[in-house]
Amino acid sequence: MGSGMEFFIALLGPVLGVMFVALLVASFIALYTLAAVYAERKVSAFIQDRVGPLETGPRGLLQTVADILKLLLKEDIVPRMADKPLWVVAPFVVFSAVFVGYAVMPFGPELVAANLNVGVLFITAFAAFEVAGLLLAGWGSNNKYALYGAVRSVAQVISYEIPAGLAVLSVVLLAGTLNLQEIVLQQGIGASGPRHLFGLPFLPDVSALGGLFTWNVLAYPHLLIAFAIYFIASLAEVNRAPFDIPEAESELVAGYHTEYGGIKFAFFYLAEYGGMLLVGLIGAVLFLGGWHSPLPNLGPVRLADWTTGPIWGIFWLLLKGFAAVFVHMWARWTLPRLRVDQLMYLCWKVLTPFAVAMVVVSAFWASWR
Amino acid sequence: MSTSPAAGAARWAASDPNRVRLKDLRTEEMVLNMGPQHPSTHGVLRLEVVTDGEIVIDVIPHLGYLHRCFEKHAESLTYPQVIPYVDRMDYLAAMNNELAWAVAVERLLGIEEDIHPRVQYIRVLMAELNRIASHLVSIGTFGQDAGAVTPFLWCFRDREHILNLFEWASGARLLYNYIWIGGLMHDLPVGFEERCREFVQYFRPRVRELNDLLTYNTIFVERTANVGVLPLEVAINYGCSGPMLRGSGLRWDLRRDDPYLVYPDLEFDVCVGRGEVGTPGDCWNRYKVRAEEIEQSLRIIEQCLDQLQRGVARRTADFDPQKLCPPRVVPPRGAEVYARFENPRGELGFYILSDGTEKPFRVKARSPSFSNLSVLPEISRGAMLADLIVILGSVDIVLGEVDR
Amino acid sequence: MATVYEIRDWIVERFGPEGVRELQLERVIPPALVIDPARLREICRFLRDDPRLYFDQLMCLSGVDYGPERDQVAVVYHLHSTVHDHQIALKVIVSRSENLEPVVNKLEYTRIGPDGEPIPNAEPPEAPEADFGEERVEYVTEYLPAVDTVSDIWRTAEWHEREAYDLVGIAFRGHPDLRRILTCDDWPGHPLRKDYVWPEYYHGIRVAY
Repeated sequence: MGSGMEFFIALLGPVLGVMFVALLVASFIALYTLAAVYAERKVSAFIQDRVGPLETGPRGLLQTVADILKLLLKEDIVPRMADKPLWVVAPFVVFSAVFVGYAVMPFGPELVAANLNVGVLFITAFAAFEVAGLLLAGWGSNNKYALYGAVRSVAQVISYEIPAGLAVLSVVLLAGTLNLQEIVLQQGIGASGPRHLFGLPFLPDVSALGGLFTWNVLAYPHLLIAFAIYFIASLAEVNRAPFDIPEAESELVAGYHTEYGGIKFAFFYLAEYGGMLLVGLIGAVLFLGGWHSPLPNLGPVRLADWTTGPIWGIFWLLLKGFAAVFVHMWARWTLPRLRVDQLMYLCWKVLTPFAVAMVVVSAFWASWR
Repeated sequence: MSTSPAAGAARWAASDPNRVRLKDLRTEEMVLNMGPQHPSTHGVLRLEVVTDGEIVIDVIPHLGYLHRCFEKHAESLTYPQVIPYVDRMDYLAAMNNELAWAVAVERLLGIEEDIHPRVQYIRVLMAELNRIASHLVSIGTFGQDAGAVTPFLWCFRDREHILNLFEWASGARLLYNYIWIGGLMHDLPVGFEERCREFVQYFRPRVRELNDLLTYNTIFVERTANVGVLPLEVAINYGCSGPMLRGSGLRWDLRRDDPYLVYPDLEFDVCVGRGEVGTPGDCWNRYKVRAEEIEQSLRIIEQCLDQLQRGVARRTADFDPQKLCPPRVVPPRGAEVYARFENPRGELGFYILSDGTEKPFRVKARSPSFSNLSVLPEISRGAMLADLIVILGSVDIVLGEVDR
Repeated sequence: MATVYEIRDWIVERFGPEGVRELQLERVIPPALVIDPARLREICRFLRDDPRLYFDQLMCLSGVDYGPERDQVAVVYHLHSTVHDHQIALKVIVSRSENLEPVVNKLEYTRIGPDGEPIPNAEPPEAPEADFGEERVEYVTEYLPAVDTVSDIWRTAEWHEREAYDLVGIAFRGHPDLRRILTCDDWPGHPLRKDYVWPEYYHGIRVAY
């Protein structure tokens, strides 16, 4: 009896800790989504020569709060012909798949919820799992447009997993680890082992310099191409323009979430914006130094040392993530949408061969080093 | 009331049932009813699409959701009273419709030649301004069909200036009732010509900007070039007109080939699809014809403004725009006319039959969108679902005119 | 560019004097030829294919009802040649009450109440949840004046003939898909008939306003 109680208390600590972290991340995603939706409106308004939201709150800042309140207060309608269990569970599956990805994300030197040795594998696996939720939503809605959207998104996400995965692989080969935190640690001051500028041994070692020069894209210049491939593929994975064909408004009304409203629709929204940030963060971790500062140590001006730490780590990582989200928005409001066959062409005949080439280069580089 | 879903579905039978029956479909085919409520049908059109995955096997348009029986209305109204109803046909180009109706009735009365030149130039000016406004909507919505939202808002920003001008002249922003049989509602407000010139100066660079954003965008070209190719013989046989016909390569413009008002005195080019990108007759070329026509309309507007400010159509103190407006429009018994006009969407024809009373005996409106839409199934079989939307956008229908 | 007299003479030369019944010039723009309904298709094909004429575009096709007193309906074809740039109108006039042909295209809806009896088409019951009964759909036959189709000569005609059928109530023999186009498939009557009476209710919706 006593040992059972002790066991229970011993278990309670970590469980509470995990729940606390999870709650923290969940509320962060919700707040970030509020801000991102507002930002998207303002960015699109700027691009389209409009003013965007102005009326609700100062400079329209409360517009998204009002929207989320509206979504929360809406009647929860279940279509009569829907496959009810699938339909209900789908938005939560989609959101969880994105949410779980944040668990292995290193936000700072010691700040990582689950420091998994197979973090890269974990995060790509769950990113692909999101598509199961989209398929549930499309099939469960019992709506032809939703079904089209679901089938399109399955085709798209699974195809784009391949160039994205290969681009990630080309980093992993050079890093020699699947642990995201270790991949980040290699890209800044305090990296173990020498790190030459542009990866060329006759150039000076920059591991003490830190900053921009130790990031993967500069330490191994071919990773710049890998990063471009990864970025394009990640746009497609989170169904953003110009690859938003699963929810193509002018063709499929709203794609897989045509039938959703209220809080369930809000979860799709959370997943979409959470996904945008997540792929931006993964890109930052793998290619752009993660939570490391872009500022190098220049002689006595120890910029990199001064701007490294837990708070700085969160700041730099989120800054990189938000920059990626901004580029997503910029692309969305500038470019038309591709057609489904052109999307597949781009994936299989352009991105995948280049990604394979990047993996080969990485493999040779890693063995030669 | 029964609560089972199947019984609920059977309770209301559609009053416009699908033409394709489920038992006639092959296993892999599916019927997708696009519309009447759908973002890309530009109003309330229903397309019954038979699809095999993403491929369109057949399209059957179902019209009439906006049908008001204009022709029945016209039979119970006097000739001048029809003008507001004509406005509501192609509601994006109401000035052009009014012009068409007014000139058609004037031709019926035999007073077409007597119209004051200032009235004629003002009519042409208004029609060309409205052509620009209409093409802007067409281009904007076409971009949106292809997934580009920003050009749509840019186009609407510029269209707003034209609507402001119209509001100033006629008091209305969409449906003007400005061009009357035999004249106009008012003369232009003082200062209108100058403001109009300012608009032309403002607008010229905007057209170039739009071309940079959309026309030669690689993705846009990928999406629209060689999609929905309409061969010239098919276009003529289906009675396509306007940018649809010119996009297929026929240099045919009623302003030049069957001229009315002062168009013979004005200089402008007839734009045709040259296959600069893609093939003549595809969606891109139809789009390009519209984009180029905007610039030609600007040329016409400048020439009209020259005449209105300094030329034969100068503002004079004794000018009365309603001088020739007949108090009662009574064409002779048995007179009939088929008059056709170049609207933004093509040939708008009115067939009017008079029985010697104040009201027309029979009016038939041959609307360009109606004939242009009828070619849709022909050019979209075998395309992909996303192409169908782009093709429909490039046909540029206004449902108010298709359904009348 | 051929004048209307030349066009008439060429038709008469080919189809005999019965081919063209009348030439309408006075106050008719463009001039109209009233032609023999029985030879409509041949004449149209001739007009389209003859190199001197080459009327490749059917601009407009209008159905006209002259009312019960004159007891005639007409179909007017406005033709145009993109090559020669000339225009002509053709008219086909047929009787409104004789030689009618059966057309089985009209949908008719009846509402069957819970007791199995048809519910009269009138105002719906006040309560929104009240029982309207089931709707039954059936095709019925109507008898209409008929003209040959030209939809295989000019495809423009396909929809315009459907419109003339729908609004004026003229049947077109040999039309591939003669359904109503602008009004609903079960709309009662043909609105542009001069003796048309508006229905009081349509599917329980009041029509008069």
